[in-house]
Amino acid sequence: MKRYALFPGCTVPAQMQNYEISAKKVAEKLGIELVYLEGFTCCGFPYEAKDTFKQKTISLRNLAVAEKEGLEVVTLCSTCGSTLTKANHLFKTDKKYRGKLEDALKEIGFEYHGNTKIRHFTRMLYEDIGVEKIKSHVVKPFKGVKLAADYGCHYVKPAAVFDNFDDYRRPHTLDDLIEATGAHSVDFKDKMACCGAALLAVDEKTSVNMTKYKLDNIKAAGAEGMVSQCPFCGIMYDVYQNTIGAYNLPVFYLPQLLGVAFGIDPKELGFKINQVKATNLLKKVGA
Amino acid sequence: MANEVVFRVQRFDPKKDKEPHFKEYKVRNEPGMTVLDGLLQIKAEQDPSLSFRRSCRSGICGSCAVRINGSSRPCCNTQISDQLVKGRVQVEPLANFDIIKDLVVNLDTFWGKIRAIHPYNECGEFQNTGKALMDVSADDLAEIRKTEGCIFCASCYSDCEALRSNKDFVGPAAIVRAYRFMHDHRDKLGKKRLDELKAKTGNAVWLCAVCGNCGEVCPKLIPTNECIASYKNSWFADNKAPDGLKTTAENLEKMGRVYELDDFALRMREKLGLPALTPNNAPKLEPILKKKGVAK
Repeated sequence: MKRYALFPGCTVPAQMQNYEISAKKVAEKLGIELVYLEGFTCCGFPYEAKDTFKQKTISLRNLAVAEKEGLEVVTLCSTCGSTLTKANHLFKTDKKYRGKLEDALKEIGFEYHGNTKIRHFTRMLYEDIGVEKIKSHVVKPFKGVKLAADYGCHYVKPAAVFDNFDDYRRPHTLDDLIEATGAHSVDFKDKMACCGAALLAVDEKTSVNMTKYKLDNIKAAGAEGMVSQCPFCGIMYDVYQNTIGAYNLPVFYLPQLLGVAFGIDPKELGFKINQVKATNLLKKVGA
Repeated sequence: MANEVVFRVQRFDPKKDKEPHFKEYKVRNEPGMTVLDGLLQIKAEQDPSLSFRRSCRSGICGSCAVRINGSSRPCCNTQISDQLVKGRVQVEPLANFDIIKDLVVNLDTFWGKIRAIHPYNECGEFQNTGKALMDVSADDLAEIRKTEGCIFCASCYSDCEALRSNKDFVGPAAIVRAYRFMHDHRDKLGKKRLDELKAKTGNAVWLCAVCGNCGEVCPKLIPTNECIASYKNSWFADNKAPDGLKTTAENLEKMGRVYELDDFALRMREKLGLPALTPNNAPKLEPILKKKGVAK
């Protein structure tokens, strides 16, 4: 059984437990163990605005926790993934900066050697399990259902720190996993548009306008639902959706979609927490 | 060997058209041909009415930026063969601007924002102090060099996600330019550049959504996100950050997390069979956050 350290982040354990529980269930089904480690904090992303050096220290402290256990980190949040990967990249490539970071970690009793690998849950599924194996688990196919893929900006950006595992302008990994369930991943205008979540604490109007732009484009493309892999995108597209307009676009997290397709009872996948109800779509596939 | 590719070009003539529309052209693609070469071929052989900006043809002047397959960049240093999607290339004018005709946009808003940050060295009157005139430190020079490559092609402005939803945002290029002068101690205006703008526009200078597009599209590989973050840091230090961001940072300092795992969250976790998680990691984070920041 493959073991990974699950990096829960802030938003998932406090608000998006549907994402977390479905990821756990899907992982179990695929023979993966997601381990909870003591001592993970926030990835450091919100501290970028206040102090980028301390932000990197927060990130690396988390990576040191995982290094000690010898486990690869798997994140559910695109932004956690990017923040940790960026800090790790800097630590490994900038000698001068690395020294300063090592000193800062030493002061709080941590040591890091740059050995922790970080991947997003979706990327881990794509690379370690593979589309074909995932297809083989599908018992309730989403045949002909039109779904829109929502990657989240930080799933593939900054491209330079992600070994170009997916094209940041036209990524395909999430689309491929959506289509593994038999669904059709629809193309829509400005597919990689940002949800605006990072501006929620600065200017709600701008933030919500950004969300609206993408929801409008997705609706115009005839999608019946969305598939997200970032909890903050989830807040914008799911929790805020009804305050923006009557879109009636259920937002699945990828493992919720996979879980249903694998025949797991939707009640076990936390659908109660989803604000826009997926009842009709679930009926359509007989779940 | 030449092969035939399709250019899907957005056309718009305000004198004739109500809406922009796409027109397709067949282009003979020779090895090494750029998207600009393709546009020039169309103009010379098929449609002289096609309008686009170009000048140096060598990635220096910054005038020929367009959106190629949805992503902005100068078309003179972009090879057709790298951009083909199913044998086609889509070419649109820069976004976040009004179209004058076809691929030519009105850049007044972009230049207005660059001008607003005083994009030049405000060193005051020359006084002979007997000291060397070029005594910028090596560290500062390294920061300045990071930004000096900017050719004002406006690709970052065009692909800015926040700007699409709020045209008041100053945009990446202007912040990068201001960052350059923040590290030039000969300059007397320094941080005041964006302070002044903040006084005029309020939170509009904070509207970067951290989407990361500007850093990806910059043809000169300027670390725009780093420059913007550094500016935010200096405002934070001066207590000029928006309240929402201050609260978020405070939460992180106090709890090690942005959101509290409150009773409701803990009950939900228990119901779903998820571990409670250590609700408070603050003791371990405090030393990091108390430590005086070390600037890069």
